[in-house]
Amino acid sequence: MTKGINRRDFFKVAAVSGAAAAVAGCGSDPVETIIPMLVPPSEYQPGVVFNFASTCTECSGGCGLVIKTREGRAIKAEGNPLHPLNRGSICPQGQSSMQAMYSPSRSKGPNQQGAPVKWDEGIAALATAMKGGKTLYIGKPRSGSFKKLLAGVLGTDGSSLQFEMSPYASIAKGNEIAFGTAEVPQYAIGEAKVLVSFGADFMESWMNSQANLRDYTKMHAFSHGQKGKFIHVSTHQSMTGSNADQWLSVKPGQEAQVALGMAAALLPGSAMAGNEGLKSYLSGFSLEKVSERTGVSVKVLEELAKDFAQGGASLAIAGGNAQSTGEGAKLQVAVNLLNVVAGNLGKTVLFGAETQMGGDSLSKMADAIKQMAAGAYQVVVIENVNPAYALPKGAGFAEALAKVPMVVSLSTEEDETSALAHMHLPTSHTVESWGDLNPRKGIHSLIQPAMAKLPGYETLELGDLLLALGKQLGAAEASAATYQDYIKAAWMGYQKDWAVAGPFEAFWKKSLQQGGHFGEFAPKSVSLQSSAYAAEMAPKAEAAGLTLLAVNSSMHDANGAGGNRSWLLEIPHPVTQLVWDSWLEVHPDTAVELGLKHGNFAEVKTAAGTQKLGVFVNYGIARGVVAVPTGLGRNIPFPTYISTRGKSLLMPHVEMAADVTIKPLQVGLSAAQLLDFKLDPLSGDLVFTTAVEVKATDEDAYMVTPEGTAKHHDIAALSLEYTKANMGDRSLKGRGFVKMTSVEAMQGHSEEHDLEHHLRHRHYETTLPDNTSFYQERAADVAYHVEWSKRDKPVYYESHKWEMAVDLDRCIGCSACVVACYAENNVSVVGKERMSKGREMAWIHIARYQEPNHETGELETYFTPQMCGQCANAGCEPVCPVYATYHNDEGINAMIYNRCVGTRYCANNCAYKQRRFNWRTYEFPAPLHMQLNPAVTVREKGVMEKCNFCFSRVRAGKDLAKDQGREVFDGEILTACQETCPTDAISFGNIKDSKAKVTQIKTTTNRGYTQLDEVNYLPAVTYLKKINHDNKKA
Amino acid sequence: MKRQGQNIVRKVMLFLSAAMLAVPSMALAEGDFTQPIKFSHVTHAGKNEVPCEFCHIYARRSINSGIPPVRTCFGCHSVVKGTTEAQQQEIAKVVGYWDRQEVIPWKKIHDIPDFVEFSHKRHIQIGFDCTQCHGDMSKVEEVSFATMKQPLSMGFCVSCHMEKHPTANGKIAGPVRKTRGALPIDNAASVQPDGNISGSKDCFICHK
Repeated sequence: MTKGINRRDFFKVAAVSGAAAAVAGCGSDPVETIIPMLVPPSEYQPGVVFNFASTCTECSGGCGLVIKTREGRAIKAEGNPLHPLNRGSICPQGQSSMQAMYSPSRSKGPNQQGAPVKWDEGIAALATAMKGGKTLYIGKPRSGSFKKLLAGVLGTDGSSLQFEMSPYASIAKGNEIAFGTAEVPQYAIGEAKVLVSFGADFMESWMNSQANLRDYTKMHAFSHGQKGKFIHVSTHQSMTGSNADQWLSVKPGQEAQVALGMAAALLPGSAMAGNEGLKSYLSGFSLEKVSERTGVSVKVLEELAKDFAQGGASLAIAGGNAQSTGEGAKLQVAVNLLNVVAGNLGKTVLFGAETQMGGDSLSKMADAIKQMAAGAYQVVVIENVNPAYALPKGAGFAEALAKVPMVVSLSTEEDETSALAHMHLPTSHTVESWGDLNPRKGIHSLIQPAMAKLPGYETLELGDLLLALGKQLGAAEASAATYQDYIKAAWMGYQKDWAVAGPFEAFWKKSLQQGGHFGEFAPKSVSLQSSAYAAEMAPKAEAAGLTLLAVNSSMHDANGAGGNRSWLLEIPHPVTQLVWDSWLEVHPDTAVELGLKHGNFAEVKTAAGTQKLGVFVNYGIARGVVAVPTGLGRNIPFPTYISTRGKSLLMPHVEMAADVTIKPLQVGLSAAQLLDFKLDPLSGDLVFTTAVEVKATDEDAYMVTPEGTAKHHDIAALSLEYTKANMGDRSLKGRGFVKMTSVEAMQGHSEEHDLEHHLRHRHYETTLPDNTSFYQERAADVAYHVEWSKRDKPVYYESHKWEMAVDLDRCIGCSACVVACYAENNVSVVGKERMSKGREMAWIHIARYQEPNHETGELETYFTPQMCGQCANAGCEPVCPVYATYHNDEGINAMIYNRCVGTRYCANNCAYKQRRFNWRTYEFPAPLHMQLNPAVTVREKGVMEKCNFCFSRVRAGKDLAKDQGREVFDGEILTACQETCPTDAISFGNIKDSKAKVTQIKTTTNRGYTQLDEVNYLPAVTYLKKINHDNKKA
Repeated sequence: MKRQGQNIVRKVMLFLSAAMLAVPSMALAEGDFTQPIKFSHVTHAGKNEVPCEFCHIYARRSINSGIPPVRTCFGCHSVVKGTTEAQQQEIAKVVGYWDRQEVIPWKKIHDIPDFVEFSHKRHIQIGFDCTQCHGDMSKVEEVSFATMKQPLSMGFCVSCHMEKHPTANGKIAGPVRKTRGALPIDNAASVQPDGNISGSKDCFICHK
C-alpha cells in the first residue's frame, strides 16, 4: 500500500461522512451520580475486591465458598482453598448461586397471596396459627446449629422434615443392614488404585462432588508413571461414566449382580473365605450366572474382579440411578459385601465420618402427606424446597397441602410450591445470611453474609425469622437477639469442646476468616453382619422391560434448583450438548427398534401420563432403557427480544432495539411428571425408574446444541446402525483437537514415547541478556513481520507472557469453568433461538467429541475446554481494519471493545472459532444486572468479544504486586476457569518465569501439543494428551 | 511518511468535521448537572486550606478517589454553621442529610466512560500532583464542565503517556504538595532528576 489511501485514512473519511449524515440520531451519555458512603468501614475500599469466606448451600454438600464482593455487592462465588472438602473448587451449580442471589424470581417482600403485609404482622399471624395446633416444617437439609433452633421453636407440637430428592437413605439403610450402623461413611477415593462405581455419579450429584473430584484427581491423574483406574457400572453412562476408563453397560437394575459376582470371584482369596454363610450366598452369583443376567461377558467380569483385588487399595461405591431402581438398599449391601471381601473396610471405606448429607428418607414425606391430607396439621411451613415441583404427581402433595388450614412459604424465590401457600415470608439468600453447617464430623463450616440485604427486597434471614417467631411462641431456645448472636453462642460452646485456647473473639475471627473450623474424625471400626448375606438381600435376577430412567442432568439437580437459572440452561449439557431443553436419551439400537429418529419428538407414556420429548440418540445408555433428565421444566423470566422474524417475506430479519419484555419461559419438562410416587421398600428413597412405552412421531423437536440444531448432523455416521437412528457423526473428523496416548506409552514402553516432543522445540529462554535475542531463531520472521505490519518494533514480552496449559487427562467436562467465566466476565445469555443460529457468547466452552476407537471400533467420549489461544501469530489481528484487536506486550490478544466497528473479519479468520460477536445488546433482567463485574466492560451490540485470560484479574494482580513492591508470584493470578476447576485441569501463568507451573509443564511434558498446528497461529494454550489405559476408555 | 492523497483526505475531513460541528454539540453528556448542595472548593480547599486527600480519601489507595463520606462533611459542619445566609442554607442541607442518614447524590463531573479503567492510586503514588489533571481547585467555586482543567479524553491521557517524565528516586520529580493540600509549597523542590518514566502504551491496560 504505497500509493493511494491506506486503511486508516479510508476509515477516517468514511466514518466522518457517515457520522455527518447520522448526527441527529446520536445518543449521549446520561448524567451519572457519584455516591459517597455515610460512614465508610475502615477496611472498605472502592475498586478492590473484598472476599468473604462462607459456605455454599446449593446442595447439602457444604463446600466452602469465598464470595468476591465489589462495592458491597457479591459478584462471584469461588471455592475456599482452605476448606477440606472442596479445597478451592466449586461446581457449576455452586457458581450459579450468584444467579440465585440475584434471581428475577426472588420474592420482594412478605405477602398474603400477593397482597403485601408487614413483617411483624406476618410473623404474628404465623405464631398465632402455630399456637392453634400441630406444625410441620418442611425445609432444606441443614446440618449445624440450625437444627437445634428449629427444634426449640417447633417445640413438642411441631415436627420437621428435611426434603431432598437424592438417594442417600439407601446408602444409610444398606450400611445398617450390612454393618449395623446407619451411617454414610467417608469414601476415600484418593486412596484407591481402582475405583468401581455402581451408578454413583460422583462427579455430578453423588455426595460432595468437589471433594470426590479432588480425591479422584489424586488417584486418576497420571503422576510418577502411575494412573488409577475408574470403572463405571450402570445403565446410564452419564457425564461421570463418560470419563471412566471402562463403562459396563448393564441391564436395568442389574448393577448389584455385578457387585456380587465380583465378590464371589474374590471370596476364595480373601480373609472372608472361611465364612460359610457368605460363601453359600455368593454361590448364587457365579460369573456365568451374572453374565447371563446382566449382559456383560464373563471375561470382562473376570478381569474386573482381578483388577479390583488391590489389597485394600480399591473402592466400590453405589448411588445415582443404580440406587434409584427400588432396590437401592440391596445394591448398597451388595457393594458393601464387595468392599469387605476386597479388604477395603477401614482403608478406603471409613466409618466414623458421620456424614450429614441429603434429606430425610422420602417415606417420611409420604407419611407427612398422609397426615396433611388427614388434617393432622394446623400449619405447614415450607422453606426453600420445592416439593410441588420435584415430587411426582402421584405423591398427592399439592392435594394434601390444600387441606392444611395455613400454609406458609419461607422461600427466597417464588416457585411452584410457594404459589400454593397462603402467606409468603421470604427469607434472605445464604449470601446475605448467617449460619453454620456440619457436613462431616470434624468439619464445621461457617456462613457469613457477604453483603447487606439486596435493596428493594424486604427479606429476613431465616435464622432471624425463626428467632422472632420463637420469641412470640415463648421458646426458650429463641432468646438470642439475632441469629448472628445465636451462632456465636453456639461457637463459644464449640470452642470449649474443641479445646481451642485463647479468647473467643480471636477464635471467632479466625474461624470466620478461614470459613470454619476444620478437624479430622476418628475412624470407627465396623464388621460385617450376617443380615448382609441373608437370602432376602439377593437382588432381582430379571431385568425389567423398556424402562424410563429419570437421571440427574449434572447441571440441574433433582430438586430443580438450577432449572430456572439462565447460565445453567444456556451452558450445554456435557454429554448431550443440548441447551434450553429436556430430552429423551436412547441407545441407537433401541431407537432403531422403536422406530425413533434423533431430533424428532417421541411420545413417552408411563403410568403417570404421556409427554412429548425430543429424542437424543447416544451410545452412553443401555439398550432397553430410555433416560430423561431431572431438574428441568421450570419457569424462568427471560427477555423476549422483538424482531421482524416471520412478519413478512419481504421484510428482512431485523432485531428491533425497542421494548424488550421479560416473560416467564418454561424450559423443558419435569421428569417428575413421568414418574410414579414409588418408594424403595427398604430405604424409602424415590424410585426414579418406571415402565414406559415410547412411540415415534414425525415432528421435529427443534433441539439445539452449540453446533446449531441437533438435527444438522444427520450425515453419514460411523456405522450403519447409527445412521438408521440419525445419530450423526460426533467425531473429531480428523481435526486433531483432542489427542490421546496410553499409560504404556507414557511409561516409555512403546514407540510413541520417542515421537517428537513438540514443545521442547519452543524456545522460552529467559536467561538471555537482552530482549532482541528472545527471537533469535525467528529473527528473520520477526523482521519481516514488523515491516509488514508497520509497527515500530516487534512485540517483546518484557514483563510477562501469559500462557495456559490444559490437561485433557484431567478435564471431566463438568463445565464449572464455563459458568465461572460467565459470572466473571459478564457474558450474555442469548437463549435457545439464537443458540440455534450459532450466536452463543461463551468465552470458554467444553467441546464434547465421540470418537471411534480404531482398535475396538467403539465410540469414546472426549471433553476439551476451548478458549481463545492468544495466538502469537494470530490470524485475527492483522485483519482488523481499526486495530481493535492486537497483541499486547504480555502475550494477550487484546480486544478493545469501543474501538470495534463490527466487521467480524477477525472472527472469520480465527481458525479455532473462539470469537463471539454481540449481535444485539443482550439484557440482564433485574436484579441480575447487580451481579455484573465492574472490572470487566459490559458489551453492547456490534462489538466482538472473546476470552482474554481474565486480564482484569491480571491487572489487579499486577497492581497488588506493585503496591507491595514485588513481582507477581506464580499462582497468585488465577483465571476464573482455572480457579474453579475441581481437577486442576487448567494451568495458567507467566511462561517467562522458569519456576512457574505452566513453564514446568510446557518444558518437561512429552504429551503436549497445540491444536491446528498446520495453520501456524502459535496459540499460547497447550493441550496435554488424554492418557488411556490399554489405549481405550469409556 | 508522505503519501499521495493524504492532503486530500485532510481537506475532506476538515470540511466534514466543520459541517458536523455546526450541529449542536453531541459529544458532551446530557442532563441536569445541578449539584444537590452548592459546595464551594474555594471555601474549603482555598480559604480553609483543607488538603485534597482529607476528603478524597481513596485517591492514594484505590482506582477511584472517592467523594467525601457524609461523616467527613458532618465532622466539621456539626459545629461550623456558616456566616452568611447563603452559607447557612447550604450547610443546613448537609446536616440534614446526616440527620436522615442519607447519602448525598452528587453529580459526577469528572467522568470517564465505563469501558475505561483509570487508577488514581497508580498516578498519585508515582508522584503526580492532583493539580496536574484537576487544576488548582482552590480557585474553583463550582465544579462544572467549564471549570475542568483537562478534557479527560483519551487524547489527553495518551499525550501524557507518550512523554517521558523525569523522576527522582522513582517518584515524579517536581513540585509536590507534601500532604496534597491545597497550598502550593513555597519553594518548589529543586530536585535533581535521576531517571525517566513513561506510562504504559498498552491499550489493554486502560481499556478493560
